[in-house]
Amino acid sequence: MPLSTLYRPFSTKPHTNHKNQKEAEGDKRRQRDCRREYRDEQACVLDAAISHVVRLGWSEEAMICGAKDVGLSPSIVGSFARKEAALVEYFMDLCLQKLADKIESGLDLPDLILSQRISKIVRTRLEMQIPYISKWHQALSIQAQPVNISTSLKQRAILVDEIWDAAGDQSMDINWYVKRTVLGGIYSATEVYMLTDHSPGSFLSMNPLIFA
Amino acid sequence: MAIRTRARILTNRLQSMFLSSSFLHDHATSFGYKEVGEEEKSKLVGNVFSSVAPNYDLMNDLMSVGLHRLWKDRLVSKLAPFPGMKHLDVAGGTGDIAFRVLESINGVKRRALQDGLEDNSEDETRVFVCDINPAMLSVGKKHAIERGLGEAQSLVWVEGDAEALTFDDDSMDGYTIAFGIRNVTHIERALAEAYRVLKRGGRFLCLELSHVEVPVFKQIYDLYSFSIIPAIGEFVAGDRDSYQYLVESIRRFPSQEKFAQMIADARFQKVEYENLIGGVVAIHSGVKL
Repeated sequence: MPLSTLYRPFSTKPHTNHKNQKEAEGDKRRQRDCRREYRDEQACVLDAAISHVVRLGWSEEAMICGAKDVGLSPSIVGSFARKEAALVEYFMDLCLQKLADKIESGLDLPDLILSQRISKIVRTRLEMQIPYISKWHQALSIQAQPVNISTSLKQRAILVDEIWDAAGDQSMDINWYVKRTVLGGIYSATEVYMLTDHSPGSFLSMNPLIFA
Repeated sequence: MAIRTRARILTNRLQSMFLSSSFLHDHATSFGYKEVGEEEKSKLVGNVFSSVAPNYDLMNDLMSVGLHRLWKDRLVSKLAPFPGMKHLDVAGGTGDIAFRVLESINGVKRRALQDGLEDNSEDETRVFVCDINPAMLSVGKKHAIERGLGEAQSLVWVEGDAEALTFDDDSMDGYTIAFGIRNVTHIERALAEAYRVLKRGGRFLCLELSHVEVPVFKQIYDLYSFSIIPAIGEFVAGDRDSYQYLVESIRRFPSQEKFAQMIADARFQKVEYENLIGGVVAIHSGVKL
């Protein structure tokens, strides 16, 4: 699926990117089938590179290995404008897409009260980062670089909006901004906490989310 | 100095209709502002480079005020070389690009080893320097010895024509041509050859003196090119005509947009270009998929 469709404008309307099962399957097939189009090839390289992240970090080396895996010359890595940032941003998009799919396929949200719903969604999203937790500080530092920060803030804003949407937020006034700002803070704080949470069972204790 | 950057992604090929074959043919048979036969052009270009070879580096430094080094650095940083790369530098007789590619790979290699990348690929790195002119190649070989790369396995010198490369299909990861494609008789053939030898995912990069469109700067640049460069050529290299050809051939070279379209027509994807110093030079790039 073209990732650009994930960048929808802020809205409190019902989700527009939720597709039915059949369409979603078609999208996945299209992603696997590397066609001769630049955007697709780029996605293939990034997709393959993610499996090397644990070993090599969010780096050009991981992307070089990814390109080798999909049978392309690693030279293609040079055509990514912001190299490692492209990899991190691709991963963020991928996680957002997975989160949307999970919410759609049912997290039993309606049975919970609002704060529990939000807590559950945030947790689901952050758990996707656990396999990469040893390298996640690197991803955060890449996202914080001046050239990348605008994209990463945008991605976070979309994520937070997605979470509020899924939690059933209907606000149309100043609350809209307040809610998103507050959740953005909580999300980022929890994310940073994860980096140093070495307790048994690790991050699953979810201390900062006690408001649930 | 302000470096103006502009990149255009050409997504459709509809514009190719505007590129009439008469334009290409017209360009193909120009030697500076003179119209010459195709065979004559390659002979004349050959004479120019045999004549300028001894003073080539000095003249480059003088004419570009040393900036050509930065332009070449920029080209190689855009290429992003990696260990194990097979790279072809066409019209790179003096080895300027090849040495930079090797340096960059050695840098990457060090970093990769630190990260524990299992790497037996470093021995497989090959940079091929291809030039049609033996006089230019000998300048490059001399430089290689000065840099301690005289015996380097990774550096291969090849005398050959950009329009008829002697390399196999799908054998190269990267292709660069710096200040060379202007002198090729049939640009389309050179581009087709570049496409042929590259692997899937391989990149084409071209550094070339291009067209300045910034109003006042354009006049200054024209004055500099037509009055000062031939004069420098005469004083330093004792060869006014070769440098007169140089500035004329720059003016005859297709504009950034047209050349980008030609690259797209050669089936390259993600064709973009970047202007440096308002278009005095432009770096065009494309990916083979």
